[in-house]
This record gives sequence, structure tokens and C-alpha cells, in this order.
Amino acid sequence: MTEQRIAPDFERRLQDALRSYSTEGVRAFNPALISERARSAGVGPLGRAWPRGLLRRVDPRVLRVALLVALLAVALVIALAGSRRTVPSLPVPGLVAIGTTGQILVGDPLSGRFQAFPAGAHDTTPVWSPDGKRIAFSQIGGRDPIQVVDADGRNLHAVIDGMGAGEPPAWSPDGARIAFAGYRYPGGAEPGLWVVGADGTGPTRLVASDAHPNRLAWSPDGSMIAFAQFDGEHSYVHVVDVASGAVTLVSSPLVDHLEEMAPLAWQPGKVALLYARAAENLGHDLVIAERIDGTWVERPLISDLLAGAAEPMWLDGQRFVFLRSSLGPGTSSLERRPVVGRADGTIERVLGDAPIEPVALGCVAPDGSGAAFPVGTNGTPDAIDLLMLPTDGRPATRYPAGAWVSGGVACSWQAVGP
Amino acid sequence: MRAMAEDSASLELLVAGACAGDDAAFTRLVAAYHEDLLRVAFVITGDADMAADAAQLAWQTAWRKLRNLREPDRLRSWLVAIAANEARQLTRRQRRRSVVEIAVAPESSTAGEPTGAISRLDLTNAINRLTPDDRELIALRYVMGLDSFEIAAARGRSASGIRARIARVLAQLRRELDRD
Repeated sequence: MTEQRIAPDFERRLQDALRSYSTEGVRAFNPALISERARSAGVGPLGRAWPRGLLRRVDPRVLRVALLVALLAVALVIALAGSRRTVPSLPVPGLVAIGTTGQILVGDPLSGRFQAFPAGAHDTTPVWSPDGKRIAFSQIGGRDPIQVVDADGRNLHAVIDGMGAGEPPAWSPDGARIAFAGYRYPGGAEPGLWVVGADGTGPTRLVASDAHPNRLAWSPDGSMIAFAQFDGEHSYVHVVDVASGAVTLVSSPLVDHLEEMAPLAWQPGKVALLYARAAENLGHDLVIAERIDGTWVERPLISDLLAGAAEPMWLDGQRFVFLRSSLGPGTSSLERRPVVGRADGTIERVLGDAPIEPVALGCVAPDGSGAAFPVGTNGTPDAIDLLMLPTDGRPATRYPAGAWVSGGVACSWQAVGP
Repeated sequence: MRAMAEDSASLELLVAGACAGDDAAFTRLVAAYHEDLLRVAFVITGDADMAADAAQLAWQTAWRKLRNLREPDRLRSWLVAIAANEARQLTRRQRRRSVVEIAVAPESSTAGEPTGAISRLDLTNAINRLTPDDRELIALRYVMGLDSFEIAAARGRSASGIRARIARVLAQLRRELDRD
């Protein structure tokens, strides 16, 4: 496949070390033993012949006719798809930033004009400032500090030197401060959740933690920061009081930690968080945790998401978008569809007419009228399209965003600044 | 081994033969890929005996399910994913044992390593601190060279989620191993 990027130095050394280390497990094999053990299991792949044999038995003339019919059908589908692409796009003006490896793509999806800003060597995690004028980002896997760049790609600078950070940062609602998961570099000392002024002043370690705080999200009133933390078995949601540094455990175990890097979702107008967690028996539940009389209370919102759910993002105070997984028809592989849910636990609609495979985290329009997901162009990872999905059920529209170096971590959608 | 793996026509024939119950064909597949399975399983389990058991179980699973493999070109990633799954499960069954830091370097831990190389001792300790899930990811990515799409297909997850998690594990390993 195409993800054979040139590994940065550490990745290359790690790869060399791991490949050498893995040879310790190599032993000579005994083919007779393998075959005998497999047979002793009482099972075997005996059965149908490979489909090639079937094809050989089919009359070539029948194959030619079938091929012609298939080609005509494909042409018809392409023609129909082309006529649907004239649907007008979303009415929301704004800019979307997409982080990939070594660059940030910033553009106005309505005009289809995207510009690539160089941004270090690793996967980037752009997050718009609340006023839409700046973008903060970290470099996943990098040792670089949080950096900020203006929306036009100028004035790229480190917010604070001598600190590494590896998770998407979070702006305070007033844009004055940035929260990030970081540590002193070099050396790795003082790991935890840090807060620093957007101008680099007053760095403070708010939470001392070697457990990789992630999914940072500042509460709308700026008094709390929600974050997830992995304890070696599961991730849990916590909230830290910005003024006192007091940390409160909010959640039961979250969904499989492999999936998520999306910021936790504060419900507009409430002191409540929306996230997916492992269901009691199988699959995931979408859950709202609300602080009532000083105590956090979890309430299942949508259950029985057997194949999984991820990335819930509020559109407004009552509606949210999340990715729902399900088994594809006739296959054992999962496919994902964006779904609009409501705070009363109902499903409003499924967005788009086909499953999607995002290459980075999605984002929602500032006014909640749409959701966007970076996807590979034509299903390949060579270039990125931004798939825009109106939340009122209109058809999706694709906008070419640019070359995809590799990686791909986050997308952020912001109204145009004044 | 690699030459055979890249010859998709002969691979398809071998798979078809194994599906049809041809012991010789199946044995040739084992000969070609057994080492890959052992290496992945060893990174996940950290134990050569458990890795051998995982590979053995993986071949039994492969023997049962080979006819479900629709794309013979993906045989290698399919097989190592099965072995990784078996290794992960074996490790979980025995994970209640506590993780012990290796305090003494093996005799060959640094001998002959180029300047800047990660020492075997540090690597072993760092890997021991990862979860079996994360060990599986780095084994598939860095030992087998699978990309996130192949890993995602094997794990039934999104490629973006896999990339995000690998990046996070990489950051953790970098912090522990790269304190220069």
C-alpha cells in the first residue's frame, strides 16, 4: 500500500531495534508437527474449489456479455453520480484546517481553495483559536512544543520552548490560554496536563500524570478541562478544575482506546460531557455525564451500538454527530456511517448515502449545519478530499483539499474571523 | 520466502491447493510464513514459548479458515493478524503476572549495536510497559511493515484510529527510549 513514508530517525531506529528483537522468538519449525496438529484439531479447509476453477468452466461468450453489461451499468452509475454533484454546497462560510504529516491544509471548502502550510515533520493536529485567526497544533510522535500559526500560514512559532507535546491542544474559550499534554524535553520530566498563555507566558502543570492525558476539551465557561487518561487497561474521563487543579473522575471505562483521539464533547449550555464508553455486554454506549449538585452522573443516551461508536461532536445544544460502526452487508468488516443523534436519545438521521472511511478526525460547522470528514480521494490515501455532509439530510459534497503526505490526525472547522 | 510471497500467481495456487486439502501446499505456506508469525507473536508475548504456541494456534485457525480468504495477495497480513490475535489472547490469559523490569542486560544487548541504536535492554523494558494491544500494533507496523490500512482491515477498525494510536504509542516509546 502507499503508507511507506520515509521514517523519521526515531521510527527508523525503533524499527531496526524491534526487528532485531523479534528474531529472539524465531525457532525452527517442524512441518509435520504443524500439519499433524492442524489435522488433529478435526478441521480443515477441505471444501469448495477456488473460484478460478469455476470461471474456467464458464463459456467465454457468456463472460463477454456479462462484462459488457457490467460496463454499461458502471457508466450509468457514473453518469448519475455526476448529475448529483451539482447540488449546491453548504451555506456556512468558514475555514477548515486538516492536519497531515508535515503540513496543515487550510482552506475554504465552499470555494474549494486549500493551501498547504509546512508544519514540521510529523502528524499535525490543528485546532482553530476561538476567534478563527490562529491555529495551534502539536506534532504527534514528535518532540516539538505546541506551535501556533496565523490563519494565513505566517508567524509560525513555538508557544513555549523546551517542552514536548503529543496530543491535540485545546484553546480556552477566550483564546488567552492553551492546554496541552506535555513534558519537559529533553528528559521527559514533569509529564502531565499543562496550561500556558497563548503568548507563552505562565506555563503551569495543572495535572501531574505519566498516563498520557489526551482528548483535552476546555469547558465552555473556561473553568474546567476534560481529559481522558489510560490506566493500562481502559481510558477514563476526568475533569480538572482550572483554578484549583482538583481532578474528578467522571466516567466508567471508555471505548477501546485504539479508536479515539477526538476532543471530549462539552454539551453547549450545560455542564455535561458526551462520549462513547464500553457497553456492559457488547459494543458501545453513547453516554452523557452531567454534573448535578457537584456530582458527576452518567446517563446512557444511545445504547446497543454493538459494532461501535466514536467521535461524538455537538452540533448545537440538542443535536450531535457521531460515527456509528456496523458490519457491512455480507462481510465481516466494519463500515462507518455518520449519524445525527439528539440529546433525548433518539437518532435523527444517517448522513450521506454511503459508508465513509475518514483519514483524520472529523469536525462540525460552527453553526451546526454540517459535518466534515477528511477522506482519501477515490478511496486511496494519495490525496485528501473533504467530505461535507449537511446535517439536514442533503447529499454530501466532496472538495479536493490537497496532497496527503501520510498520517492525518485532525480537522478543525471555524467561522471566518472578523 | 519473500520471493514466493510476491509471486501472486504461485501464491494463489498454493492457497487454492491448501484449501483443497493439499498437505504439501499448506506445509509450503507454513515454511514461508512461520517465521513472520513467530516474530510478531514474540513482540506481543515477550516469550519465545508463548510465541511458538501462538503461531501454532494461528496455523490451526488458518487451516480452518483459509477458504474464507478472498484475496490471496493479503495472505501474509491475514496470517500475521491471526498470530497477533492469538498472542494477544495468550498474553491476556497470563497477564496477571506482574511486569518485571529487566535489570541486567543480556550479554548481547548492546554488543555490536551502532551508535544511537536503541539498546535491547531499554527496548525490552519499554515494550513490557505497553499493553498487549499496543505491542500488537507496533509489531504489525514496525516488524511486519504493515500500513495502517492493512492493520485496520485486520483489526476491524478505522485506519485513522490505528494511526492515531500508533502515533500515541510511538510518542510514549520515544519519551522512554530517546532521552538523549
